[in-house]
Amino acid sequence: MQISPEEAAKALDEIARTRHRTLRNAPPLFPSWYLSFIWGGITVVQFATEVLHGPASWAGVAVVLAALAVAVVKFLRDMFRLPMRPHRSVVDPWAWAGFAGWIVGTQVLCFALLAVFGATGLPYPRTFSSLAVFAVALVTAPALPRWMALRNARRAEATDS
Amino acid sequence: MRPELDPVIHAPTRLRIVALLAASDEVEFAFVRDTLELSDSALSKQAAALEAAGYVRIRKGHVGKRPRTWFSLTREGRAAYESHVAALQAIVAGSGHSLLPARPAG
Repeated sequence: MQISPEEAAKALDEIARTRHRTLRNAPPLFPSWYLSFIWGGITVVQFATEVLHGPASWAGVAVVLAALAVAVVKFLRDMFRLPMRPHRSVVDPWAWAGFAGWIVGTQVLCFALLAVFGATGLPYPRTFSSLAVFAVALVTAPALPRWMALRNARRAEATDS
Repeated sequence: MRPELDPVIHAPTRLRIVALLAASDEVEFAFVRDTLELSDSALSKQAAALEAAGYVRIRKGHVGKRPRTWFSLTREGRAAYESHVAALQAIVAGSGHSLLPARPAG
């Protein structure tokens, strides 16, 4: 099969434009509800172990563990049903660094709030610090996988320009 | 081994489909159709040709009660695409043209 250099250049240009359009149209990298759900679970565990006592405490923890198991199954199922999952070769490592930063950041925030609430004598500091971070997760988690998908698109465009 | 142009991939619509799939692990039918602005029948026809060549894997499933179809490149399909892109780049580079960047995914 023989083609001219102009045809080859045009084909390469089409490939690059298709790649950019694909990554621009890509959905968020993963279902964001899962991150909020994890922090919701942590909050309920803190509530069950700090506020509740005896059988109610154990029941609370058991409910959270069961709900987390169901959530993991649903998360994997949702991942499998995404309209598009990017290949590892187009995923920006900084997107995953941002993801790790979010995980670490929310934990650091939780410990910082725990220290502040503990120092000020607020009752149930573990529950309230987790609750505050749960609220932060509800607000910020949806943006995280969208931002990660956008980073992939920008990286491809920067690489190809 | 010298990279070769692949006539199965080189057809314009199939080239765009394979380029899209190369950037993806798995893609739903509607995403490919809408991103490449193809009709259902055109996409089905080209996907069937790529599947017959052993380049594309087609998975059927459901989201809720709605049937869905997902596409992914097979290992052979990804290798053929990478070889095709390398051949295109070699042709452009050999001609003295500036090399348009279209790096194969993978």
